[in-house]
Amino acid sequence: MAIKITRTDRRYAMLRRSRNLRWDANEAEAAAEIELCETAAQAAEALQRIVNAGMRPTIRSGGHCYEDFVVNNPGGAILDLSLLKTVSLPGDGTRYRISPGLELGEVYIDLYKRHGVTIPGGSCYEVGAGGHISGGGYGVLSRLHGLTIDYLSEVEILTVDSKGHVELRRIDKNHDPDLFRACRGGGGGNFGVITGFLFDRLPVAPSEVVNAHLSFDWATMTEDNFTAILMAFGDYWAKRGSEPDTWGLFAALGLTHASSGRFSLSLQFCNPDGSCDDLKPLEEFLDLFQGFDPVETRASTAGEQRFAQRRPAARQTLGRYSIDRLLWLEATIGDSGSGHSGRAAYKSCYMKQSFTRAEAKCIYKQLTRTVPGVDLRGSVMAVDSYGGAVNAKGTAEATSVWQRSSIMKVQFQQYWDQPEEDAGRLQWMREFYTDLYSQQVDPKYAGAPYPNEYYEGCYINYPDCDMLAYAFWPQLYYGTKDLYPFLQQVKRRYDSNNIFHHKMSIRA
Amino acid sequence: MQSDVRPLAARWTRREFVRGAAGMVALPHLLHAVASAPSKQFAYVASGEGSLHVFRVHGEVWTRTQQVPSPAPAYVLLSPAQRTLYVANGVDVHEGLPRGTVEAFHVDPFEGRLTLLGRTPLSLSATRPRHLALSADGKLLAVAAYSGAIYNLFRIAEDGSLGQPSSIFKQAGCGPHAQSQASAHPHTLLFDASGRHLLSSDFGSDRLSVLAVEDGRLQRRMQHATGEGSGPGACALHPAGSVFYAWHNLESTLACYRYDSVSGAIGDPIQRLAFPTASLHALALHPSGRMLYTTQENRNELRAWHVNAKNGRLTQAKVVMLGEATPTQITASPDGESIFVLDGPGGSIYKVTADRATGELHCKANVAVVNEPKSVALKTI
Repeated sequence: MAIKITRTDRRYAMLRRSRNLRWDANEAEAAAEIELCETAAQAAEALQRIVNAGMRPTIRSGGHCYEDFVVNNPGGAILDLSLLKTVSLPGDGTRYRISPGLELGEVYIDLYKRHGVTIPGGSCYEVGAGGHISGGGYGVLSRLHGLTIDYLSEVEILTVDSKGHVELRRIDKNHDPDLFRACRGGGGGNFGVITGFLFDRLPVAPSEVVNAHLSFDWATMTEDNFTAILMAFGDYWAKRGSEPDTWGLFAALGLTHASSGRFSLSLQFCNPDGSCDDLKPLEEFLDLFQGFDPVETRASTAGEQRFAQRRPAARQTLGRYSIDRLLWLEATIGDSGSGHSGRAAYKSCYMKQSFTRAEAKCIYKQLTRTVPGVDLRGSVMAVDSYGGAVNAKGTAEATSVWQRSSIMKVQFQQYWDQPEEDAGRLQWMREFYTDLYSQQVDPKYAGAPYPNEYYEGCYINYPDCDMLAYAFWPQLYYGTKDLYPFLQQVKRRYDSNNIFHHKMSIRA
Repeated sequence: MQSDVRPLAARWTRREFVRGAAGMVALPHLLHAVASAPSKQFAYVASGEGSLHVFRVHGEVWTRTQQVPSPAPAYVLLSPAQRTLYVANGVDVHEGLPRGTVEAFHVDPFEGRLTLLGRTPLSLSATRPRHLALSADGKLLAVAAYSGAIYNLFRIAEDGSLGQPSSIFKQAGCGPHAQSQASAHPHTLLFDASGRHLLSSDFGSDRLSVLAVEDGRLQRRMQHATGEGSGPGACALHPAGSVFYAWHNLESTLACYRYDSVSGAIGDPIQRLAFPTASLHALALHPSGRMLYTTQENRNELRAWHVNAKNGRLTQAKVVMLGEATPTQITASPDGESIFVLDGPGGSIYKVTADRATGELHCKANVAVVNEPKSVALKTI
C-alpha cells in the first residue's frame, strides 16, 4: 500500500507544498491527499483508488514543475513517486533502468559508479527523473550526446483505460509505438503514470571536464559592448558550434538584470571522446570575450547573483527576538530536499539563429530598465548553447521533441520571496518577453516566439501559463506540423476520459 | 401514434405522496404549486446564438423585455427563491484554460430583469457544462460538465454568487459506440428530495449514478448500469421522490426506476417503453406528479403519460402534434398550467396548455421566436 497522507497527518503541510511558493497561496486549491508510492504496484493500486473515488490524480516525482500543474489540485490526490527509486528489476537484463523518483544527481552517481555511463540530462541535481525525462531531458552534455529521450528504449507506464481501469503497459517502438513516441518528450501529466524508463544503451560518461566562469560588469557595460557580447556568443553557436569537435562545449550566458551588478558566462567543456586533451576549441571560444573585460568568478558566486537576498517567509517576533517559523524538513534540509525554494516564474524560447542586433538592443533595454519599487535582482535570461547532437537527423520523427534546428535555448527566470513582489516582477518579465518576441514574428503571433526562421517555440519542461492567452499555444510547444494532432490522437486512445490533465496538458 | 385523451389511470392521494421521507419534503412545495395562481410571469430563454432572452409572459403572448449576452448558454435554472438565475455556459475554454463556466444573474424581483453577478469558472477539464441542479434549500448548485465528465458542486453565497467549487467529482467510463461514447458524458443531474443525494445520468458510460452530498462534498454512493449502448440522457425524479424516469437515448427506451432517497439507491427498472428510432429525447414531469411528458427530436409530437400513483408506471395519454416543430427540450411551468416545448432547429417556443391539477394537455400555441432555444426557466410572482 502507498503511504497515504491526508490533512490530519503532520507531514501534510510539508508534502502538499510546491517548491515554487507562488502556488502555495490558496489553501482551497491544495490537493486533499498525497499518495507516496515506492513501487509500480503501489502506484497502480493508489491510482485505481483515486480514479474510483472520482478524484483527479496529479503526478509528482521531484516536485520541480514550474507551473501549478501538480500541487494545485483541489480535492484531488498527488501521486508522489519520489520514493520510487528502484535501480533495477528482474527482467531488466542488460538495460539501464531509471525510476521516476530518482533525482538526477542520484541517477548520475548510480550510472557512473555501476556502469560508467550517463544521461545527457539536466544540471540541477535535485530535479526528479520522471518529469525531466518525460519532457525531453536536456542538459550540459546534450550538445555532445543529444537528449535523454533519444536513448529511451522502453517505458513502463500506468494508463487508465476507457472503462476506468488502471493498466500497466510496457511500451517501446514495437508495443504501443504511438504512446511510446508521445512519452519521448510530450511532457508529463498527459497520458499516464510512468514508473520506469529503460535504456538499451547510454553514452559513456566523460572522464573529465573543464569548467570556467566569467562575469561582466554591468556598471561599465555599454549597449554596444553588450550587443557585441551577445552576437559573439550567438554567432559562435550558429557557425563554429555546429562542428563536431565543439559539441563537448556547453555554455550558458546568464543575463541578469543590471541591478544584480554583473552578468555571467559559465561553461563546461570536454572533447568528443570524453577527455580534456585538446583544449583548443575552448580557448578559441573564450578568446571571443577577451575584449569585454570579463572577470573570472567562482561558480557559487555567479550562481548566487541570480537570487535576490532571501528573507524568511514567516518571520515573527517573540518578545525582543525575531524568530523564523519553518516546516521541520525545510529547516533541516531545505524545501523537500530541493535546495533554494521561493517564488519563481519562467519562460522559454528556442533560437535558430544568432541574436540580431535588434534583439540584443531590446534585451539591453529591458535589463537596464528599472521599475520604481520593484527589485529586479533575481531576474535572469539564461541563454544556453544548444544544437550539436540534439539536431541529429531522424530524432524529431522518433520522439515528441520537434525542436531540432535550434542553436540556443533561452530560459527566462525570476526568483524572489515575498508575495507582495509578485505583481511588479511578473509584469516586468511579461513586458520584457512580449517586447522581445514581437519584433521578428508575424504580427498575428506577436508576443511569443512562434515558429519561424528565427524561433522554434518554447520548451514544454519550462511551461509558462502566460502562453495560454494565445490560441496558438500548442504550436509554441509542439510545432506547426503534425506533432500536436498526433499527441491528441494518442490522448484520445490511451486516456479517453482525460484522467490526466493540467492547464497545459494535451487537449484531445 | 395516439391523439386521444385516455382516462386517468389513478388519482394521487395524500398518503401516496408522503410515502417515504422524500415525499414528505416534496409535498408542501407541490401543494403550493397547484394552489396558487400567478399574477406576473417571466420567461428566461437560453439562446444558442449567445444570449439570454427575458420575456414578460401574458398568457400566450410573450414580450421580449431584455436580451443579455451569455457565452454558449446551454441550460438556465432559477433559484428556489427566484432571486438568481444560473446559466451553464457550454464552452470548452475560458481564459485560456480547458473549462466551462457558470453565470449567476440577479433577477429583479418585480420586473424580472437580469443583472450579472458573476461568471465563475468550473474546475479544470470541466468543459461544456450542460445541466445544473439546485438543492431545495437553494444553498448548493451542482453542475454536470458533459465533455469533461466532471461534476462540480458550489456553495451559494447569500447574494446568489458562487465561489470556487467545494467539490469536484470526475467520472470515467465509456460505451460501445465509438464516436459518441468514447468517454463518460454526464448528461442530467438532479437533487433528490432529501437534498443528500445527486442523481445523474451518464450518456457516455451507460450508467446512472447516485452521489452523496455531505458537507459540500460529493462521494459516489452507487452506480446502476443501464445496459451496453443505452446512452441514458434526460431524466426526472417524481416529486414524491420514489420513482425516477430516464430516457435511454441510444436504444430509444424510456425507463422507470424505483428510487430510495434514504439510502440513495436506484433499483432495477420497473418499466421500459421502447420506441422505434433513436434520437435526442426530452422529458418533464408535471408538478402534480400525475403526468410525464416526452418528446423525441425526430418526431413532431409531445406525448403525455399518466403516472400510476401506486407504482409510478406509465400509460400513454394524449399526444399533441407539433406541426413542423422539431422538439429538443421540454419544461413544465411551476404552476402546472403550461408545458413549453423548445424547437431548437426551428427557433420557436411552443406552449401547450395543461390542466394545473391533473396535467392533462389541451391546446398549443407558438409563443416566442428565439434563435436556437436551448432551455427555458419561468419566474412567477
